[in-house]
Parts: sequence; C-alpha cells; structure tokens
Amino acid sequence: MYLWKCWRDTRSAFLGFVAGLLAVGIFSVYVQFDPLGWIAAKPESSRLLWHVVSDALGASLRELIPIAGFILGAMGVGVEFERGTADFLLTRPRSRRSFLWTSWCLGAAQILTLVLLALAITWLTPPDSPAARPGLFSLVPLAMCTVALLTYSLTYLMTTLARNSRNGIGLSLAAITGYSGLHVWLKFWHGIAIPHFWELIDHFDRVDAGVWFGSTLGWLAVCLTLMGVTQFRFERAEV
Amino acid sequence: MTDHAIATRGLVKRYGQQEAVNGLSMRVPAGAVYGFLGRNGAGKSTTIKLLMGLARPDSGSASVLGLDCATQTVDILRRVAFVGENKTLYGELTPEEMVRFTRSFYPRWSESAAEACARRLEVPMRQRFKTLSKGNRAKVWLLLALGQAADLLVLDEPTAGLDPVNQDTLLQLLAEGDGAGTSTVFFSSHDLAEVERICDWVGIVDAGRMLLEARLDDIREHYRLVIAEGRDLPMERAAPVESATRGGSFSRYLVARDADGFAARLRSLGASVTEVTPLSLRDVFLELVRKEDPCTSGNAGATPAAPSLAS
Repeated sequence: MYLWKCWRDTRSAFLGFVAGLLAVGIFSVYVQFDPLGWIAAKPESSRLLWHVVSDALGASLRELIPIAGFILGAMGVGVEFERGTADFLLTRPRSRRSFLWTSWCLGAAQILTLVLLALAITWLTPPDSPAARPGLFSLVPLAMCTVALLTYSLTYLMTTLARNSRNGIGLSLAAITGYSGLHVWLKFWHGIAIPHFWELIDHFDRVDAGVWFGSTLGWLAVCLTLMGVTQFRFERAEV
Repeated sequence: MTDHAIATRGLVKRYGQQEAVNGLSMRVPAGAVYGFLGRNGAGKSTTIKLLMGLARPDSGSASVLGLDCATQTVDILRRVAFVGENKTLYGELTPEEMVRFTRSFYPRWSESAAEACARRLEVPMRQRFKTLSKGNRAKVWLLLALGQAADLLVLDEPTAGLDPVNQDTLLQLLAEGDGAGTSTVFFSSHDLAEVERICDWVGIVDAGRMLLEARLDDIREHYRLVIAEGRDLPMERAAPVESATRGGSFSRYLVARDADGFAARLRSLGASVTEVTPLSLRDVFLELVRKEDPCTSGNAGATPAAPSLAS
C-alpha cells in the first residue's frame, strides 16, 4: 500500500511528463508523415519551419528526461517533513529504509518508462534517416536512464537534507551548476578532464563504446552512493 | 509480559542549549490509563517522540512494552498506536483511503473497531483530508489509531481541536476500551478535567522532569495541602512531601500521605498549622508547577539547617 501511496503522490507529475512526450511524439509523427497533406500544402519556407521544429523537439527529448528526475526526486520521502506527515509515516511499523527504497524504486521505474517512451518517439521520427535511429537495445537508453537517475537521486538527497521540495531542487541545481563550473574551469584553464555525466548523452557517438559503458556504470555507482547517503540521513532524521 | 507498558530512566533530550527532557524517569503500569500532564513546553511531546522513535535521546534509556526504544523501534511500532501532536495527514487522500493505507501495516487491524469509531465520531469518510476541519482531522488520526488493535495507545493531546461533544465521545471510547483490545492508554493533555474523568494514573512533568507520578485515587484520598506558619521550617522534598513552597512566614506543603502525622511533626517543631486541605488534581498540578516562589518543588535543601520531616 505504501507503493500505492507513492504512486498517488507522483502520478500527476508522471502522467504530465507522459502527456508531454506523447504530444511531442504525435506532433513529430504528424509532421513526418503528414497524413492529411496539410504541411505539403504549405509554402516551402513554412514546411521547412515545421520540420525544423519537429526535429528540434525530437532531438531534445533525451536532454529533457533529466528534468523529470528533478521533479520526481523532489517528491521523495523528504517531502513528508515539509507536509508534516513524517510523524505519521515514521510511526508505521516498517523500517525507514524500506520507505526510502520503495519510493525511490517507483521513481526509477517511472524514469525508465519515460526514457523508453522518449526513445520510441525518437525512433519513430528520425530527424534525417532511419540510420540515425538509436537502437532500442543500445547503450543510449542506459545512458539516458543514468543521467535521469543522477538528477533524480541528487534531488532526492537534497530534498531529504533540506526537508523541502523547492529547496531540494534548488540545492540540486546548485550542485550540478557548481560541478559543471568546476568541470569547465579545470578543463579550459588547467587542461584537467574530470568526468561529467552530461557527456553520456551529449557525446555518446564520439566515445569508445567500452569507455562509455564504463563511464555509465561509474555514474550509476554515484547514483547509488547518493542514495546511500540519503538512507544514512533519513534513518537518523528526527521529527 | 512486562509490568510496565512504558519505562524510562534518566531520559535526556537537548535541542542546542535547551534541555527539553531533563533526566525524566517514568513508569506507566501495564493496563493503566495514564494521563501525562504538564504545561506548554514541559517536555511532554518530546518525551512521546522519544518513545515513538521520532527523536533520539542524548542519554538515558526508554522501553515500551519491554522493548528498547533505541534498538527495537519497528517491533514497538507494530504494537503501539500513535496520535501525534501535529494532526496532519495526506491532503489528497480521503479518510477511507487512509484507513486502507494504514491497515496494510497492521495484521491485527480491527475493522469493527475502526467502523465503530468512525460512526461514533461521525468522521466524513469520503472527503479529502485537506478539506476537513481541524476537529475532523484529529478524528481521522484517532480512527486510524483505534483501528490498530494495539497493546498500547500513545496519544499526544488527542482532544485538541475537538468540540465538546466529540471530546466526550472520544473519552467514552477510551474509557470503554473501544480501541479493540487496547490495554494501556498513555495520553498527554492540558485538560485536567478529562484526565480526572478517565485516567487511573497521572504523571506531572515540568521542565523535562517528572514531578509526580501517582494513582489518581491516591491523590484524591491521601494528598493534602498543609499550610503552616513558623520560622525555619524544613523545605526539603522528601517523602511524604511532594513539594514545599514558602511565602513570607507561611510554608505550603503538598503531602502524599499521612498529612495529620506530618502536621503533628510540624507542630512539634513549633509551627502553627493553619490548614490541612484535601486536593483535587488541579490543585496538585498547580502546587507542583507554579513558579511564583523561588522555593518550589525540587528545590531541596533550601534550608539545609532545618530538621528533616521525612518519614
């Protein structure tokens, strides 16, 4: 039943993302195949604009999925403190870690669903040619999941620390911005390359598959470490 | 089965420099209806949080139903129903959905007790929690606690926000044991009348310390206020004296038993005993916690040279 409660808490956000993805998908498919001939009837410049918008939306899907991570992460067990329901939930006879991981797993499953949906849309509406389609069973979905899980786990941790969803998102964005700044500073001023998770989805076609897979596993380990810290804090949190 | 549903020893909880609970020792007998009394900020809610595993003590120990609060929290929570100070639940859920959610945690959940409670308290079961009034929110908490068929009911100001009719119904439910076999009830309150009505034990706490723990019948039958006039009267808090206060040449003693014997001993010290009065719970509470006079209870040794009257 706790899983059901977590679903009740997050379903609006999740279904909102699904609806957004479907809207982009339907738009892209419509522009791609133009079943009613509306776009074909338009002038050349207008037709080009429709295709550019459709391609841009399709191509940006994998960058948009991590946003779902921020939103869903801010709906984890940390918000129980903000809503004032922590004393109710934490006096139910279950270990705190079971509450934490049940809620996290549901969010992870929702992210996986969104990734697969985004991938299916990208696959159905390739920007240039069928050859540009990412394989459904390639490393692309794994990398998209990893990046989204990172933003999700980081926001989950920050929300638990801050005991507030808005502050959680803010701290998470600040952490990512800070890390990105450090990454850029080290790279361009000192020539030191530190890994950045965004490279998993931004440069996946330019990196050796083995290195990329190793990097993905590394970032998944970071995700689990963040959740380990979250568990440590949550199990010791006082109401 | 332990003799005490709740037992604490030297429990301390600090928030920064402030000691919310300051060496609290308490024993709640199994099967009792125990009223936990104290002023605002006396440490009642913090003590309850420590018992329920919502906060960790800085020192001291606590056990509930014979289980250690520090290490066996989940086992305790299986057998204890709790109504918190803050009566907030999930705003989007209806009480009906809350019942479904809550009963999944408790194999011993009593549908009949929950239904009886919902009916008697007139809980609107199909309205979203966020739209409920303060009183109705408190009722939902109570319904969820009473349905658990718990061995121990821990209630933090359960009647706060309830109208007099619902207060009365709740007290009836507790007194009748409608908590589906709940054997011990521990509840904090400011309302001395409701405590007098249903409790058989009371604990009075102030500044995080237990000032008095006694059977209510003992308080009614044996506790007396002794007022005496005289110089150099003893002000020690030692049995049977629960508190000693001085104002001018008068000394006030809250005496737990044998008030006449105590008065006789005061007279033998040259005091003039002006009054030996039976006390209500309210009188005892006020005698113990009021702070106007510096020589209040626990101020043992205020006149160390004075002869002891401890029996």
